[in-house]
Amino acid sequence: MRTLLKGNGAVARAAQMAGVQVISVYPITPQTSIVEELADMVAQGRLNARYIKVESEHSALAACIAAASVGARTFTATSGQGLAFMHELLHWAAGSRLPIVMVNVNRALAAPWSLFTDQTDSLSQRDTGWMQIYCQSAQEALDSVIQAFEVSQRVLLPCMVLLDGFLLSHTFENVDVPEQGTVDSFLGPLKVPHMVDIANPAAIGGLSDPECYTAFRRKLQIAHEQALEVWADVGRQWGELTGRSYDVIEEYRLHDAELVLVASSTPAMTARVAIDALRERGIAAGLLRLRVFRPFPANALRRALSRKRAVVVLDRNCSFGHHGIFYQETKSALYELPAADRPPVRGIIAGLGGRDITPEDIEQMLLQGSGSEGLEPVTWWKTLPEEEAVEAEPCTATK
Amino acid sequence: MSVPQPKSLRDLPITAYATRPTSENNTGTWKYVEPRYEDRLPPCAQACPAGNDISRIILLLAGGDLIGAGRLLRSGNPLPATLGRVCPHFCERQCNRDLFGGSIAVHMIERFLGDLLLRDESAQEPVTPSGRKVAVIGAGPAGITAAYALALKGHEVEVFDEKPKPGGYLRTGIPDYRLPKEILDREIEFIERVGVKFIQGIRIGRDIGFEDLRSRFDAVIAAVGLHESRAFEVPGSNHRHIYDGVELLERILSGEIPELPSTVAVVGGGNTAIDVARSLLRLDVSPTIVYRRSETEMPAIASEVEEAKREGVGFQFLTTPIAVVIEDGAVVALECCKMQLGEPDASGRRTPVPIPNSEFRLPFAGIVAAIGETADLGFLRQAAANGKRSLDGFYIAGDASTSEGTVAAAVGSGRRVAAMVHSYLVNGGTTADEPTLQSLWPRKVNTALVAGPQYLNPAYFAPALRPEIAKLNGEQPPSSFAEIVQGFAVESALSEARRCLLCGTCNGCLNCYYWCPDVAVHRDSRNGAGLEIDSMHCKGCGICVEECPRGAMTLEEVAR
Amino acid sequence: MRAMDVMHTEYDPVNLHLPDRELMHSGHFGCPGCGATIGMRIALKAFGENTIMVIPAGCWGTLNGPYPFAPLKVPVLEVAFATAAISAAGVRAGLDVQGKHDVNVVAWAGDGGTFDIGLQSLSGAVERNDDIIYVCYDNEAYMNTGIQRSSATPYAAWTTTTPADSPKLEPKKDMVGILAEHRIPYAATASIAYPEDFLRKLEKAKAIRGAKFIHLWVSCPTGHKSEERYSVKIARLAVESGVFPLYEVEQGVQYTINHEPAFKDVTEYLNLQGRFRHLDTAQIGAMRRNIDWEWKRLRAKVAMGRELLLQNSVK
Repeated sequence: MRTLLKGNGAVARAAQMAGVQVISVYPITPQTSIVEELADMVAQGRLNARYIKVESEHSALAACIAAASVGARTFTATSGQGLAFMHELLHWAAGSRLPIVMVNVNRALAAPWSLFTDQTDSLSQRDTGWMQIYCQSAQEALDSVIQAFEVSQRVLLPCMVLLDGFLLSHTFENVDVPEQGTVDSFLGPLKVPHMVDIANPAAIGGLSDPECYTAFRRKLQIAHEQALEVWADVGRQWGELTGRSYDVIEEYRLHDAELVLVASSTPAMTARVAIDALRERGIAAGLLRLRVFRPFPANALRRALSRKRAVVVLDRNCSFGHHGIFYQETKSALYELPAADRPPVRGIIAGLGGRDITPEDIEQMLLQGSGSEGLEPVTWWKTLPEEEAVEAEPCTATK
Repeated sequence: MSVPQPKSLRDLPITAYATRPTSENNTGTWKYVEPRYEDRLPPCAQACPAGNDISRIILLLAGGDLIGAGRLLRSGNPLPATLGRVCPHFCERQCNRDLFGGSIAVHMIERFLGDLLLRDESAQEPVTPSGRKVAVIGAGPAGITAAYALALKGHEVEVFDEKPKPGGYLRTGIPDYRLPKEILDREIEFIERVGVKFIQGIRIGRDIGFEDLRSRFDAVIAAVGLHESRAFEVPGSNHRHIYDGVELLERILSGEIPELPSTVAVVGGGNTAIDVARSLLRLDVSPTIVYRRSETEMPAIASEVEEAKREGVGFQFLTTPIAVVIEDGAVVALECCKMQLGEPDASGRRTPVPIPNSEFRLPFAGIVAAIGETADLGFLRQAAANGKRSLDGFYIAGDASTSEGTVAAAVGSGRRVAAMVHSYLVNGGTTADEPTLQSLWPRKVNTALVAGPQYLNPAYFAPALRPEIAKLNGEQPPSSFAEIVQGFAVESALSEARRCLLCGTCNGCLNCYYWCPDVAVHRDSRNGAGLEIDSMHCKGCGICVEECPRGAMTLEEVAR
Repeated sequence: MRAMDVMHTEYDPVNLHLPDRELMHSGHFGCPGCGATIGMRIALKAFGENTIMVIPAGCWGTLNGPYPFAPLKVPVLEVAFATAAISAAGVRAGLDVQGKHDVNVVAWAGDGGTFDIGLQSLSGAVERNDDIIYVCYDNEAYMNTGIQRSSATPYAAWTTTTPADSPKLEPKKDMVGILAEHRIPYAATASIAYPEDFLRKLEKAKAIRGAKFIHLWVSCPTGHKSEERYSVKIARLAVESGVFPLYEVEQGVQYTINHEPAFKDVTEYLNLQGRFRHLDTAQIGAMRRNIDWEWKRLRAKVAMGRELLLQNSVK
């Protein structure tokens, strides 16, 4: 059934159809309307779930961990500061191997305050063991949330689904909402083998010595490695059911491209316009969209980018003290290629704090990226000009 | 801490999901000290001259097993109904409960159980005869007890006594208002049912020769008591109104009341003096105790002295008779001299010293001398004359041996001597050392450690006062010999038993079991108390020992 | 020993009668004489097998292991330090939605995880009236990390972060009072030395739907610097000296004092613990005055509660 949904509405609908049983909620812009819609669903009996109005995001994830530990399907949503506040528990949820699904609406982190989107919040959590899926449309958001429930319960890893704040969360689109029956046949029953169970009492989470701890961590890593295959499987299955199939990466006019943009989320959508424009001008541009970021699809990336003439990686984030995270990870994956196959890679940091990225910007990024050497490997896109002596100046308040 | 190492990833779950019980860990290696269940000797039992296992008896009673308590009491003590009435209850003076509301009325419990068992007509369990014969001379408490103990071991026992009825001093020297003779009769009946034969009216040395007795029996015990009065060496004491206290008492108790004057001085400070005085009171005589020391030195039982005062017996302390004043053939006065207390003598009591020129007269129409008794071992002189120094298979028991002067001591002595005789009989001739009373108990107790108050944990004692003991409330002075002290009813006996702290005696309260932080106290029926320390898991914290209300546990160092 | 030196109590102290069932194993790694393990052992007798324990970081978080060993016969979920209450609430929600309504869900947290880092989460759960039983086993400091002060540490007690030269001057936080102000359906104090009172309160809590809180005083020989064998004795003296009153409060208003202590002089309690060894007479005097004051406050609450309920019923 086609209907107009904004990104937040689409994920709320997806959570409802997946039959989530425990939802913990704490408000934060720009995710709040997700949980508000879920409140209405629960109140009106359209969703049989326990809806816990917690007193902080740290508690929100703690509630999900606890409920998942007793075998309930759980869901929560947050953004920016909220995700950061959960940080300790993100590690905890992954180490506990719990199939929790969370939507994080990307928002720039304080200080200073910003309400608008960038991806530093979720990407700085990439080490926690959570799977990460970056969506470019409301349709994909709906489809991916449902797929996330299936993948996470198969591999027993928590999964966060990322939407750009406001640009995706609050933009209405024409979304095809699948039938409940379709979802029911797609989503297998939830089984948490190590769940808390009166009939099988166990002490869960106790102190582990170095050998055991290492083994548990190794298992976590192996689960991630296996998850790539599962994402691809599940994406295919979904395609069979709905006509919309997904893979761990998306390629747009990539096969014969010489100049490739690596991007994610809404800028990837914008990039198609730029790429089409460049192709009109005879430039063989293409797009590789990173969809599944954790586990990192290194093989797919290497296959797609091998021997390309130039690769430009767009980062709406920065790992301060180094570079944009997609850039680092892409370069590191490509390093495994034989030297002859390794494309030159340039990084662009753009769109922080919600700064707009236009199709013209992307055209320029690609053209610049394919330009002569002598350019910096990473460029901060169109920031204010810097003075010659680039020293950190104390920000003094005027008296 | 050794954690078993996994061999492959397949051996592990996906996260720390633990199902092996911690009981696999030997945390017992942590301890430096280990607790042990060990009953200690309660101070009451330490003080009991009769060797009653007091706390164990009270434990049974408190648990509602009246017959069991009575049987344990009577397993070594054949005279509980008697002792409960006449014993000065040394136990109660040591009772730790005195610090917490008043000592336990142990003697009342003893009497209650004794009286209860007198109603128990059940047949005695048969004992295999040993084929040995033992003669006991004297049917007083020591003789009775020794005979009883030996009969229980299967020996054939005959008790020879010169008086018309058995009982010794119990019959001739303790008035009915303290010990009704029906009670004594019934206790003796029970002892006869056990198999003891009493042969009355026989004096050894006169009717049967001592050597003759020794030839007919495998062992002989002389328990002749102290029936020879000390001579009253006061000038003028040859008169019909001057009486020997022991003799007088015997006559009164046998029902043969002699002619008595109206006022009498009873010279002496012991139980005999008090008993004579209170008996005379009931016969319309006005008695006055004349004693050379002060009240605190009186050897008589304090409660008896109080009773005597209450009934109207007069007291004259620090006074010694010098002469009897007789005028016109009648006793008219006792010439006395005032005394003062000097240095302590061998018994620890201060020696009375006459105050010079303090003579004075006290008007009396009669005098009773109750100044002490000695043993009559005349029949032994014969043996000594025949050149024997020490005699094989011959023992002396009771007051004749120890002069302790209480029925309880006599019972205790009878028990110990019987144990020696039994050992002599079965071990063929060797004389064992005199055993301690506690070693004769069915259960083992560490007698080296007495359960003093420092071993108790008062947090577990409910506040409760010693109950009033009911007494016959008659006119003063009384005119009948009816028993004064009324015994406990069942409820009172039970509640008093429950008030007992059971010092040093495990009663299975389970404090140790409940408090252990390591669940290392197990309820295992192999152990007598039903409790066992799990050494593999006990860390030696000692909480069990600390929280044992009665000091029935010890901590000892572990050999490392 | 003084004459009549006995407990004034409404219970029969001569014989303890506790339920038989044992849901704790031997062989755990608790310090010898650990009061927190006594507390857990007793509590499990009330909870029974149909219980899920939620345990955050703290002594019991460490006792619950190490992997692969489990000290309890009921399932235990270990959770992050600050999350005891919300995790218990999450367990409850997860069970409820699956139709499993008759399980005891218990948060078992120390004073650090309750009074300090866990306070937000506890406040949230109580305000929402989540259906959990929260037991705070209070050994009065962060003992698991080596004896550091918490807001439950009493006045002037030594800890590594409040050494004798720089003692804790702040009084112990009144956690039951804080939760009473939340209108919690049921909150109570309890002591391991009074196990029957503790069990009665747990049974009462089990029968109530909504948030319940028990503040359990437990001894810690390691952190209190006391002899291990005195763990129960010290817990008893904490109550009998008036330092730790035993009371309960219903609906945040109706206070009941469960036990009138003997009000033994506080030095008897202090002298058994090395953490109070450095106290001078001025500090001990302040302690005595504080005990007096806290009891006045408590009795005033009892009176106020009675008055309120009376007025309410007269209407």
